[in-house]
Amino acid sequence: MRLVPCPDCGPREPGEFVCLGDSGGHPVGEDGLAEALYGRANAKGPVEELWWHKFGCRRWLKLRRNSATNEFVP
Amino acid sequence: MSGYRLLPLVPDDTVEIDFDGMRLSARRGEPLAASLIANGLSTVARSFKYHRPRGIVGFGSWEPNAVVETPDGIELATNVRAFDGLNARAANCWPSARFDAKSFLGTFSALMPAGFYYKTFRGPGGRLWPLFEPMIRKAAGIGRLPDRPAAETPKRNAHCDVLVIGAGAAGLAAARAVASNASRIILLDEGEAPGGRLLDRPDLRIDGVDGREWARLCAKSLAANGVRVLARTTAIGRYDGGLVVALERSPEGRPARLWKIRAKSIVLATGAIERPLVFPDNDRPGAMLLTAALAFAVRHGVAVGREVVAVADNDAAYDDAVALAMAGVAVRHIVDPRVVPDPELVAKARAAGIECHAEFTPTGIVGSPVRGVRLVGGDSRSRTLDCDVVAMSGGTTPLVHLHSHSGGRLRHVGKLRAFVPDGPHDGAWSAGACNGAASLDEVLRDGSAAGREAARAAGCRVDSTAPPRAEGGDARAEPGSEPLAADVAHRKAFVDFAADVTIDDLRLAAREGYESVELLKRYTTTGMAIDQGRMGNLAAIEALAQAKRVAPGLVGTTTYRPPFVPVPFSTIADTNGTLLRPSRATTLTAWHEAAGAVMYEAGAHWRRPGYYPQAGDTMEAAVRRECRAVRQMAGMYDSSPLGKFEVVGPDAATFLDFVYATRLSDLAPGRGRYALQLHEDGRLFDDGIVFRTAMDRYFVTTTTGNADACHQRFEYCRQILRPELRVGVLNVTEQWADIVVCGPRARAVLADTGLSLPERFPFLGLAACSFAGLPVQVARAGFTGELSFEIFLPASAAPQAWRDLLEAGRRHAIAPVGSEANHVLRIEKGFISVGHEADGICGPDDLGLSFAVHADKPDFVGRQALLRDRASPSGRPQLVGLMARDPQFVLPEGSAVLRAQGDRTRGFVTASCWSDALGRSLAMALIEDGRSLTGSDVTLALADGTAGAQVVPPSFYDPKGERQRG
Repeated sequence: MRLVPCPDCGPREPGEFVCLGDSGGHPVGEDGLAEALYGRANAKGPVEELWWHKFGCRRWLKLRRNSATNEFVP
Repeated sequence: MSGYRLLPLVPDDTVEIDFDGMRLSARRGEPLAASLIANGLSTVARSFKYHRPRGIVGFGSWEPNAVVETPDGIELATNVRAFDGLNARAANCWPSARFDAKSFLGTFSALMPAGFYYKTFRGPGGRLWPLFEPMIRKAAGIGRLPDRPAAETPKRNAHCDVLVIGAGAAGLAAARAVASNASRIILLDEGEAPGGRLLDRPDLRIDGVDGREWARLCAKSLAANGVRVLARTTAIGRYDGGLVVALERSPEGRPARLWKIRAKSIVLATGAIERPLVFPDNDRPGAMLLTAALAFAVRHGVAVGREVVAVADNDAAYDDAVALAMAGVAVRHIVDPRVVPDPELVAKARAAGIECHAEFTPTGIVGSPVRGVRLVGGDSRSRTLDCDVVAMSGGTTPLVHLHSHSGGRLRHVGKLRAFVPDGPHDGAWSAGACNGAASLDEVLRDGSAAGREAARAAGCRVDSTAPPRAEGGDARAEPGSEPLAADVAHRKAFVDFAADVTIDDLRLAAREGYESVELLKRYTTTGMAIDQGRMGNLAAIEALAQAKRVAPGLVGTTTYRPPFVPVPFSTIADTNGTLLRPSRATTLTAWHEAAGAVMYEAGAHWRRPGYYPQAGDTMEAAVRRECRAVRQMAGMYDSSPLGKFEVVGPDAATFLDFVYATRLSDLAPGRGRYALQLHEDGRLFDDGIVFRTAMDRYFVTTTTGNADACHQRFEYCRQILRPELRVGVLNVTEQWADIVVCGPRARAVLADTGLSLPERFPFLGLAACSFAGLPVQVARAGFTGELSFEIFLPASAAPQAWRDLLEAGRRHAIAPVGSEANHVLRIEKGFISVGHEADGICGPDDLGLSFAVHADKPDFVGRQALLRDRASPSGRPQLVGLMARDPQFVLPEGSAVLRAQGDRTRGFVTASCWSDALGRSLAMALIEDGRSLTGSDVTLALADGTAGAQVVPPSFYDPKGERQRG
């Protein structure tokens, strides 16, 4: 329930956002396809995540969150 | 237990209340529990599992037994307030707490050990659970909810620099340590007045004044300095990032307001509650907590009994017993299992007329309600003391719940035999008794220190005055005995009163291998009842530690979760009717309802018509009539919930070629194409028709259920994957209504309403038209396989247009059509439905949709995985049609498909219906390599037997599509 830092709107309730997590990106080429589709590090500690400010500015944000404490880190 | 009033009732303050059918007099505003005790009632509840008679044990939210039903809901008798006309009854019994029809269960208690229900009804070969579950649930319930809806509980958001939870000595000292005039501070407390345990002890003094007076003045001066002081407010949960949810109650004890407080820093000064001692029959009415007896006497002028024996194993209990005697309650004895209690305390107790017995352990209770307590001395001599109240004190349980809710760690302190916070956590500092502070002076110093830390962390100034100093209150609540007796000769020693768990239950569970505290909890249910184990958890942990022969700190605790006290769902729920999430209405929903449609909530919470029954209609008849109208004459339906997007910009075409697997860049303006979106793993995500309205502008339709997900994906592709493209996406789902007119007479209906279509208007064309003076867009598209026009028009104009179309269509026998008929019509055509056939596992080829994939495009979402899928195409589920051998039999949706009897499952029926147009039943199915089975027979496994069916191509009606193109 930590506030999510949105560069457009300021700190906002997480309910306004959709968290996509580690998206894997868009695979190009056969190499690394399986990794891009299914490989997720699920790391403990700082992780890069994508968040969509659905009920706000609709910006996709790249945020770093500490998965152990849920704190957003710069 | 024969309670009475120390202070007589005065008429002005007296109210009449009703409990279990008895009329009782009570003091206005006192807890119902105080009224019951004062009226001499000792048995006021029945226990959860064994229906044993129970009395009041605790005070405030620390009551495990006395659950009552009131017209406002199920509550603790210690929290319900007495006011005129209060009507309460004991919850877990019938006809009343004193005469309970199920009390015989207690007789069989020896046959109901830990895990009884699992062992008896769910064990190997046991198929009894479904049979007995309703009976068990009925027998074990905790009261009935009132049959009227709960009153609305307003929600309130607040923000502050420092939030102090608990206005006892520690909390007040903490709040004082923040320079209040320069900061936003909130101080909340569960009690009616600030002071916490200071309120029970007139002998304590702080900074030279009576502790109670100090608390009152302190809170008053804080409030005068702008601190928001909330009484009767319980913090029920702490969450990440300084969010605290608190429930404020009205003076009558009803939920009045739900607070959501965001604080930069938090001081947790939640205090500690007393632990009962574990010995046989410690649950008899009349056995209660010493501090509860004291609170009833000092705060409410109610004596819990005529003759009290305190059974205590800690120093603080001596002071409490003396305070109880000073309040006018006859405390006869203090029984202490320790060998050498502090002689000074003993002397003080003797001076108050209390006889002290060291090295005596309680071994049982005489009578129910209590008539005496059995003891055994260090020299093995036993004796019995007469009394009507046994006041227990087995040390304290620090209330670390809020600290732990969002992940704060705990450490075990041997001297306290309890867990305390292991340092501050996530901007929350624990202070006072919940932090393990024992003497009043320690509590005050701890509170001041935590207040200063919290202030600094929140960027507030710190108040420089010295922390308050205490006189008295030095005795510590550090328990000294090994308190865990066994059940003796089937006399139960309760650890968890609320869940009816005894010490032997816990030992049995440990012997049976439930050695993890989390398993022990779930197996025995200890800690799982209304008090969430507040009374008994530490004893349960000690029992497990003893059984495992390890230190209690190594056993650990179970996870603490909100809410801290029971909270009615109605206080958390939204209050607009019955749904937590409101349903969505199109501008035509009101018309459908008025027309008597049977409404469903379907796809993204839209309230939609299922079918329109006429007088005496069955659903079947209504659906047949609606289908017939579409196939033979004309039908119209409200397709407004369909997802709709404008995609605009110089790179709109490139963008859509990337988002969709279908090529859309070569569409001519005014034309549309059926298009597919894939997941990156090549599976089908969504389908719809995409129209080009201009060279740089597209009008995109998606499925109803995926409209939001499509929006998210469009923006994801635009912002993250292809940020270089100059394109914008606008969600216009709710701006445009969509009325579909379909059937052989559709063109005539439109002509009769004055809607002139272009001369040349091919299938999947889109035209800007004028309809009753409004600019609208008409598409030749639909989901029924008939000649079909979709009229996209401003949502506000839809009701009038709908009525006009219906009026003009009357000559053509037009009928409004609901989603049930749509389902039948699409099965007849073999059209897939996202969610039925596109289930996240199937790719476009599996569904026969390869025609809509243009893999020669250089790149699009899902292309790589799709290419790999194509490299190994066998074994895929493939969409086929099924014709049941018995044409009258409608195959149940979801039935398993086998190649022959005895075969393994090869697939399942995704959709099935009776088709009036074809005069037989039809079905669609996903079957492993299904297309290769075309023409052959398969077997369907049904709940009762099997059925045969033939595999056919998945298009039954007008397979060439001549009708929709005509």
